[in-house]
Amino acid sequence: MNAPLLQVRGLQTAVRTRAGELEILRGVDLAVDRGETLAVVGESGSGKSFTALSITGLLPPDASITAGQVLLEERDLAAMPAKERRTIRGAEIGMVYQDPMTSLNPVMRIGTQVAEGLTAHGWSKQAARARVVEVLGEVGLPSPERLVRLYPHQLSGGMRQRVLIACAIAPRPKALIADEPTTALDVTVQQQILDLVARLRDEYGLAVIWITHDLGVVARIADRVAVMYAGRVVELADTGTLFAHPTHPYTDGLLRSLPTPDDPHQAPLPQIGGVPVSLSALPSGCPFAPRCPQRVERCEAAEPDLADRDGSLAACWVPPERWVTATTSEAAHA
Amino acid sequence: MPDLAIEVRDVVKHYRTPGRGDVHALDGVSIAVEPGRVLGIVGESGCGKSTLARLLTRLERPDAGRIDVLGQPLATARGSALRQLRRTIQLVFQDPYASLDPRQRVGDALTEVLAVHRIAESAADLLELVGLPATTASRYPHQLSGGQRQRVGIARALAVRPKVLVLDEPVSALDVSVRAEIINLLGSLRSELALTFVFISHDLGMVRHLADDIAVMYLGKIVEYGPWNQVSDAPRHPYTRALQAAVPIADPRHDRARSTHTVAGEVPDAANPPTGCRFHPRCPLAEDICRREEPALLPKSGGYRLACHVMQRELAASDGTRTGSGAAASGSASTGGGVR
Repeated sequence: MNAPLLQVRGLQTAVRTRAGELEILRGVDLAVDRGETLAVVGESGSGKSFTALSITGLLPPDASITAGQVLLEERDLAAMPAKERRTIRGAEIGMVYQDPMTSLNPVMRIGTQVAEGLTAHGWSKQAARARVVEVLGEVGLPSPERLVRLYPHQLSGGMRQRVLIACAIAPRPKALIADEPTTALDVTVQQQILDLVARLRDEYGLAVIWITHDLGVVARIADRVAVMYAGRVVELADTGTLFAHPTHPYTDGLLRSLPTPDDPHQAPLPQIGGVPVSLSALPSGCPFAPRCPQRVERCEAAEPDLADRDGSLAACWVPPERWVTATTSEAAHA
Repeated sequence: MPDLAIEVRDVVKHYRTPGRGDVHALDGVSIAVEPGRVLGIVGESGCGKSTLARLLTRLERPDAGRIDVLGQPLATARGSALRQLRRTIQLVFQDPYASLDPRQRVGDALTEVLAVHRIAESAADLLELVGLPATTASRYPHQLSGGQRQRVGIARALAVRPKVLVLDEPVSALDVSVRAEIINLLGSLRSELALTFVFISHDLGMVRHLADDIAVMYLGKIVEYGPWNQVSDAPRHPYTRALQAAVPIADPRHDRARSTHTVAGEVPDAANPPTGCRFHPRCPLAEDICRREEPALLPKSGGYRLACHVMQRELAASDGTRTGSGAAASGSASTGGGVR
């Protein structure tokens, strides 16, 4: 069996702060193959966006990869000189970000912006011009020939996000990294963008990494899910398995806390207690232990690695069959 | 005690913008909330839900229409009557970080509100009410987590002992793992303090969970309004149906079982709303009449209201069939099937 298209192994990324080095990613492992969508889900501070930035090599200047590999078809992007990595970014890995207004240059015509990414990777002007019109059509924008002459402010939010997706896929990349691309959009428009990316994934055979905090979006689009907490992946599973049988107490707590159509109306929602962990004050042992209803002594002593749990991977010392029945809804905050 | 905690009748609010014309933020909106009930308001950007929150808390005044809070007119109140009313109805913002002074300690912020309104209660009592330890008083907002900050925002709103809270997306900015505890806190405060809520959100799932009644807004109008289960679980308006289908549910068994019906296009410019029914350019059911005539929000049975030419006709036909009295609307039964 061939290796997956894109693999992240033991990735560690740190930021220099006045108080010293702060580890943001503390050993991230994940993989995604052609034609597949991997959702990376987590809360603020979980490291999901830094995972995207580390893969694409777009970390802020005060951050750097300190260990681990980012393998694209077995070439290690993390070990590559920046110049070489730049030829891969964009050409082989496309990226889409959250805010379509700030990601587009307000004084540059749509056509020029999409073409820029192509000519930068060696496309001739003529070939780029043809491809721009073609790709704008592929992302479902009306009359591309007219659209290329417009400026970003003349488009709606949903159309701007389509333009950004067009920029990302114009060079025909192998992988697409999307960081919360629908968070700023209305839900009916979000649905259109989710449909669009699923179609492009199938047409192009793209490997898609979709970063989100929204478990609803995960349920709708992902083939597999990586759940992040405090700079690591704590659970990795097929989407159906993850939602039906979560094997990490954090995933379990998140899923229980969301209202579903089955929940009794206006009844208290089961809640995860405590406060989200701070990377600058990590506890020893498992970082979720202070909030975890399944905590045992061992959890405070040592941090577990990802291990097999009936086909899922979970970083937890306590297997689900030994979990105590969740009483989180009664164990209300102090 | 008046019959209604809030009564809004035919409220209109337009904003003049240079070069763009009048933005129709609210165009004839009416709501009624009984004391102790929760009205959920859902809609996407530009629907007018936040404008309604600003009018309900008298941050702004309507161009036309009437707003009564506990039987008192809010829009025309002045002086001490206005001060009284403002204490009665308080707003909780989406982002407590933006609404708290970053250089003021939490305790001082709360004490200030209490002093201004001459209320003999301590900041510590308020903190306890929202489940925060008394030590929080000495903290600055940036030293708190998002969930703790929102608790402070709620404490500040409760300081003046209001009867009604207007909650404008109170959990949307919070991490998923703390949303449930804020929703639970609101639920328990509501019963403890006998509060009335107007809960505004784009998240139909949260609104469904918390609300007794739901109003769905689109471009400055209410399009469907009624008991939560009718509006959320058996919506009739094509927009509510599209919204319901578009909001993803965090459970693939539920989510993928639903048809992924997508409405085309986006919410049009509120400065230039479409003629007739404002949803008609995106509506899968749109007919000629929808382009020409704006549908009224007509009351049906059980406090349920609907503004849709096509579905009103269907509802009349099915009512007629059930009661056996004059079922005239022929051929309409087939049109509804395309939505879901």
